[in-house]
Amino acid sequence: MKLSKLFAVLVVLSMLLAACGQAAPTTVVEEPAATDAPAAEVPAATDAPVTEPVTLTLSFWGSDLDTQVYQQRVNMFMEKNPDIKVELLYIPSDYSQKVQTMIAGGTAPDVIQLSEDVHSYSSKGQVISLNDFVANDSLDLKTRYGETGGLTTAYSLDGNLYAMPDRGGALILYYNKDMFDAAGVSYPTKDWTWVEFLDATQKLTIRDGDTVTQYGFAAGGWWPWWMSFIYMNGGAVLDASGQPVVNSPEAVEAIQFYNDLVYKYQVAPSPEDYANLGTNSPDPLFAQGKVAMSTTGFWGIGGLKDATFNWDIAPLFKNKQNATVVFGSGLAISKDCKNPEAAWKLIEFLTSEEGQAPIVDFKQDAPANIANLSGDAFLNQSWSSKPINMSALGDSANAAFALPLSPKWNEMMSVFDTNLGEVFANRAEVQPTMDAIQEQLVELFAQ
Amino acid sequence: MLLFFLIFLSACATIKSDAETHSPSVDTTPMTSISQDTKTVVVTINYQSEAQTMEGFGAAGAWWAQDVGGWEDEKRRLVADLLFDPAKGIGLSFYRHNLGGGNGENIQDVWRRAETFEIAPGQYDWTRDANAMWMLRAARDRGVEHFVVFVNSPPARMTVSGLTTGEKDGKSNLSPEMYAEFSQYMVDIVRHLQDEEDIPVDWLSPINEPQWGWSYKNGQEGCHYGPDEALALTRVLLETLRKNQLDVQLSLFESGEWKTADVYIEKLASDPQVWDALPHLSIHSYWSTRADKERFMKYMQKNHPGKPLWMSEWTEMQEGRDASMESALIMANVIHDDLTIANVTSWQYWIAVSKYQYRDGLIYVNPLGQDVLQTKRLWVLGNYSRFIRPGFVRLETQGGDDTLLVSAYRSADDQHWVVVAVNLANEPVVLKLKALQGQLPESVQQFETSAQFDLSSVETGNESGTWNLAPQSVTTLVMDR
Repeated sequence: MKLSKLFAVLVVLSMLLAACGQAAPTTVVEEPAATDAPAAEVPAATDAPVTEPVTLTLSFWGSDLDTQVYQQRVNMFMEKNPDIKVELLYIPSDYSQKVQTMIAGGTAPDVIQLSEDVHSYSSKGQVISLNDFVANDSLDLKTRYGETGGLTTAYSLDGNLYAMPDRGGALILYYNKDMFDAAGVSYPTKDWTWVEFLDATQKLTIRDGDTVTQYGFAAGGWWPWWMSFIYMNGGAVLDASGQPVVNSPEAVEAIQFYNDLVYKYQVAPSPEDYANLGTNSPDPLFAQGKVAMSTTGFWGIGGLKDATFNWDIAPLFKNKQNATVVFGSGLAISKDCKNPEAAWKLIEFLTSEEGQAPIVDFKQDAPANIANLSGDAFLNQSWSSKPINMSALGDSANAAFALPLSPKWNEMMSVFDTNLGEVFANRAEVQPTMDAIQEQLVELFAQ
Repeated sequence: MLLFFLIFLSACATIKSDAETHSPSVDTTPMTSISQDTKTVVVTINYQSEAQTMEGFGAAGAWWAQDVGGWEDEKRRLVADLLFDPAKGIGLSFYRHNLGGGNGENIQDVWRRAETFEIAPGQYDWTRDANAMWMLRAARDRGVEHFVVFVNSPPARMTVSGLTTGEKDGKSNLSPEMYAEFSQYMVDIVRHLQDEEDIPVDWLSPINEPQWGWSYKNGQEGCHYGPDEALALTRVLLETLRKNQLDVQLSLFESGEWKTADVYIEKLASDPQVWDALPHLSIHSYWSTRADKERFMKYMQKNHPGKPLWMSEWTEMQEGRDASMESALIMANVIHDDLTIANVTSWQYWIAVSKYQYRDGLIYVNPLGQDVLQTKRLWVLGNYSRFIRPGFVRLETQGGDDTLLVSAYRSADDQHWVVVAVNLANEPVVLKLKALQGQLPESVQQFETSAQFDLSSVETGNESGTWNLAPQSVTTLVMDR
């Protein structure tokens, strides 16, 4: 088992806390300090009901930085709402499975961070509609998330909104300017087509004999990577009526081109190359200066703060059209939440301009609230030693395609992963694989 | 089979002698109150549909045995009894002994350092690592049947960085000219354990989580191998085993997750001599979802059907201690998935004993006071390990639902059946069992781990073929003909 750096601290803590041989509490409750101040007057005993402070739990995934930022945000909320206590529940791995286990056991978190699988929950009635809360507060979602409403459409099913968008941002292109300069390649733009993109990756790939020492591009099996290529080529996963169309000529051509980058042109690492490099993701390879271009979310910026090379971001390029994934996460209320009003109050604050500010201050991610996204604090923040092209985010938002979210998102992804995994490992051909996926999705959607 | 009967007789006795094990003393106790509204779930065991043959359940001795094995006798015996004794504890049938690389001065946490026996090339000081050796013998003496010797890093002198924590940039840290020497080193030690210590080492595991970029900055032993390097080392090691005529099989390759295991599997399978020599593939369930396992099994069925699989390491990756049913049920969920989706023949937990503020360990300890705290994870693993013995065959089941996970097993001679039911729900449930093309044995004992009980014998007094399962519990039904 490989563990994080945080563990070293925990070792010391464990020795201190476990001295009694009992399991130490995971939450340390601070006792009030002894003071000389006069004790508060004890209220007379009455028969009036005592209002107990409400305690809410909020589950989320991510990193140590995410924990820090959520804590800061809920602390701000608790300062304003002393009658509501919020406990964070950080679930670093197997998030969905654990939350589902908690729901089954009747211990669901009150507020749940969700993303593309939101309707796996909403379709089972595990999270509640937020429509009444939005209406009661006269909350204008366009004011909060921009004219398009951001991800509120994706997080809605049958007219009901099930999660308030909290963090967002598009899949963007990161590129190593030093490598581009050395290769004499002009920097990427949204107007690049696949022809120019391929030409650049070939010029940016450096070999020492049979060994690639620098890759022009790096991606892999994560859905936003390959799916954005399908949409760039005019293809889609689902058509307007929600039916699968993944073996269209456009989609097949896109996956073929995507895989050719690895096996035909050899400008991007294969799964075996990743294993040899000791990682399963392009992000660390980009940060280590082994890759000229990679695509990831805005959160990738955090990993580059110590980069020793010059880099910048750009919107994704195109083929027949510009297309990129706008993803993020939202906050939903569990059906088992005992205090949905308090939970809504929390969510409303966390998605407000004030509640979103720490996302920017800590350079955690792109905020979902349009006021923060278009604010000076975000756009003018020092992300790098040199200014970077923040307009890439706005350009990307304009090129966002509607995510094919459905209650069967998880099952759909499983079909893709199982079949495309064979293509990406070069063990299967593209056309029959896409035909097989189409067939399996049709069957899945008919159930 | 005699052993099997002894285990079951002693299992019954366990509950009466629980004072010795520090678990609650319970005889047969009426339990879960069932109302008419209680949900009944019917599960059918398909007698004719056999899945994998089980090899056993275990845990690793890394990061604790070299300390706890040196504790005062009463305390270390207690730990050994809880883990290995089928009467006083959970009767693990597997133990993964960690063969250290030594020279761990750069590892801040002393529990993560592991001594090597080697003092010079080909020379060994067998008095080293005495505490871990005590625990290894204690496991054998309490009836553990299968032993794996696993290596996180070659000894420091064989590495590129001179450290057992990894190479500077996370590349392979085994020096290219040291493959043969590293192989001979492992062979020498396994031979010593087998011949001089009488430890029946069945498997040698030379590589651990090779796909990760183990950097020397890590605070634990580790060594990266690319697929080609893993294959090359395996070839050399197999040849060394052959020349030395050592009776041990290789356990490869302790993949850090299911998702990226296929890359190494394809490389190992590219050499038929290597592939045929591997009795199984060992994978860790870290960072892996149910969907990852389903996808992996489709890959295996298509490309390499029939190769047995082990789940050889897992713990929940979550900070903070938890000794309750909450984390125990998360573990039960993983065990159930690994047994019924990945069809693993062996399931092995990571560190059996933890001093950390983390959801690891089956037992928490405080090294300063040598205090021992049992967790519900210990007893839930016992719901499987104590009863599903090596050689049992898993039978396919139909039924169950999202909150009731049921798996079934029978002994090779069909005299004993074991059913494990995990009730995730916060409500009681009535389990009704049926047997397809066969008959359920009639003599039944019921062992429950829940907030109230630690693998305790309980009776529910229901009509024949139905059992009441407590909320958030794991129950083992033991049936004898």
